[in-house]
Amino acid sequence: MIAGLWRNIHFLLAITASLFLIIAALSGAILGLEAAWDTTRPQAISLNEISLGEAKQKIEAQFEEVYEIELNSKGFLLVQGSAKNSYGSFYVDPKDGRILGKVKKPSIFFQFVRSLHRSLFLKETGRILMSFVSFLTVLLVFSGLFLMRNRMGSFLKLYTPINDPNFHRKNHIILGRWFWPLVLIVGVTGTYLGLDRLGAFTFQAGKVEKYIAGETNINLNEIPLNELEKLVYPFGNAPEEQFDLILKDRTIRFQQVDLSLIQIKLKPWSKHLQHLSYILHTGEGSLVLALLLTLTGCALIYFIFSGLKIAAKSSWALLRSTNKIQTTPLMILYGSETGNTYGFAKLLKKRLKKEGYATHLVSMNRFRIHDNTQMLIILTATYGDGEAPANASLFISQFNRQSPKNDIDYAVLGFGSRSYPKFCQYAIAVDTMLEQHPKCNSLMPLFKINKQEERSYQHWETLLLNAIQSKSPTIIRFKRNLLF
Amino acid sequence: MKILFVIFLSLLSLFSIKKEEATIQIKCMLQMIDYRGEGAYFVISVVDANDNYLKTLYVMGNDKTWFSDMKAFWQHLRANELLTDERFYPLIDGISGATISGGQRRIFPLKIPVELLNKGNRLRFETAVEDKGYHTEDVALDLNQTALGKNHQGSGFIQQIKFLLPES
Repeated sequence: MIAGLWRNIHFLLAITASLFLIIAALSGAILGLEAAWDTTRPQAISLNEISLGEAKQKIEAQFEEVYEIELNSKGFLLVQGSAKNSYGSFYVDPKDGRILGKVKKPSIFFQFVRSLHRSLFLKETGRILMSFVSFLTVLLVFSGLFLMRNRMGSFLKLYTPINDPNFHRKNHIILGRWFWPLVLIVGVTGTYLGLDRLGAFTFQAGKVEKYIAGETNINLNEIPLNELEKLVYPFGNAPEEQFDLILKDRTIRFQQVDLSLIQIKLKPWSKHLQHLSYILHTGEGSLVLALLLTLTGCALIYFIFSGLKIAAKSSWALLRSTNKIQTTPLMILYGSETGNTYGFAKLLKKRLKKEGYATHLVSMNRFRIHDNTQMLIILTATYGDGEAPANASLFISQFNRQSPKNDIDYAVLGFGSRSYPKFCQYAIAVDTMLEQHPKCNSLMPLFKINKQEERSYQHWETLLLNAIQSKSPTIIRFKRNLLF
Repeated sequence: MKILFVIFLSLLSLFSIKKEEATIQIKCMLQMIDYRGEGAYFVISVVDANDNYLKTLYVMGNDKTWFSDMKAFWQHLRANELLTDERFYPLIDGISGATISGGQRRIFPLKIPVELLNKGNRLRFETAVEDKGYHTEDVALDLNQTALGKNHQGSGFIQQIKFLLPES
């Protein structure tokens, strides 16, 4: 039951989120490339060897006037001010203060993509939507992990080899177990950043230390440049105008004449958390992280694509179980986790119909013995560590609680993989139970199929048809025309 | 011949007017109040006594999506089809990070056409922060020497504005 629960949760979450998730993943992948590209520009150098004081001096020599020196999250040194009679924001070489170029308007394309990624151009509504999608992504990671645990038997076996004949499902699982930490990071930070932008958290103020002017002086040469966030210059020469130095962990205000401290304001932890989330989510300043994030975006798109492929086979069919069960003397029962066994059951129904037998398909959990029940063909997979598939888990206990009126002929076909030690374990359990049941007679011995081998199935089908015909040629005249 | 000369003269005068549009450059310091949230979009314009926009001096914020939040300015842009006007775009502050948010300040130069000075016009600071609100006149002051010599308190996201006039 639990296995089916996680599958349904995972599936419903994915369907809800998929449209927005595709947009978020695709735009995210592009923005990751932008961040990666930014780190490869030659301006990025190690800034811990240069002090703020040195850099400030050199920059001031190159500019007519400086208003602001900023080290942005991409690792570029930006100066706002005027040089050569032109005001603007300039990239500057931290070693010699040389102007490298004027900051241009951000590319319209990336701005478009960024706006799409953040808010779908819907402003607050879009922000809320995208935050919610991020949150759904987090839930998808967890439901996916539980789904993998059920499949592999336990969390400890998560990284053991998997055998799955279905190309997309195999890759869905393989990519899932490598990418879940990254998807989780993107989801959690995305949710946090979205909520933060929407003002969901209240920031507590940082601790403030006040100083008496002229007593303690600040030495800018002792501050490494990579500590810098922004240095805002005083406005004019008036003594009440001061420097504001924003560092990674505190904001310092000092006088412009004697560089004496006025106050130090420590950054609250919530600001640090915000910064960390931003860096983790955008990959700004780190080539490896930015590329990993782009890959995560691509992986997410593949998850959706392959997920839909898998769902087309199983989840829709497994969810859709509300229709009333019709009963026929000959019933086909299936226990299917991923939809493969269900597929074979449908195949068998078609074949039997062609031979003139009216049958109905029902999952093992939903089957009830009726007065007209005469023959059961049971197809079941085994899931996880020798356990029943989700829609077959109640079969044995339910069957034993009912008392059939007539004798029942049965045949069991098990699906599984020989690479697991408990090959077809659940089919064996069902077969054993029926064998010991006083009212049940074996039509043919238990048959096991390794990895859904088509030829084994064909072989079994022929054996089955012969058995049905020879065993009860007269009783089971389930010819369609007689029934209707 | 006479006609040609007249045309030549008028063309010359046109160019010279365009070239000689006299401006004074003042420095402006804008200090934001300590609010939480997104960076503020703001636009500084000269308006006449009837609130008609005469000149846009400075626009901060480079994402067009949010211009519509500055409602009066947006109306002006739409009415005069300025959104597609090439001349308008160089005014947009292309500084990365673009906007400034709570508690921050920025210093920038403003070029004010002399012909708009001391004519009963006003200098208007319009501000908007997404989902936090909009102020048509966060700060508004008479555009004359006396008013520019003072500091001004804001009524919305701006805490204070100071000017430095050119030394002459």
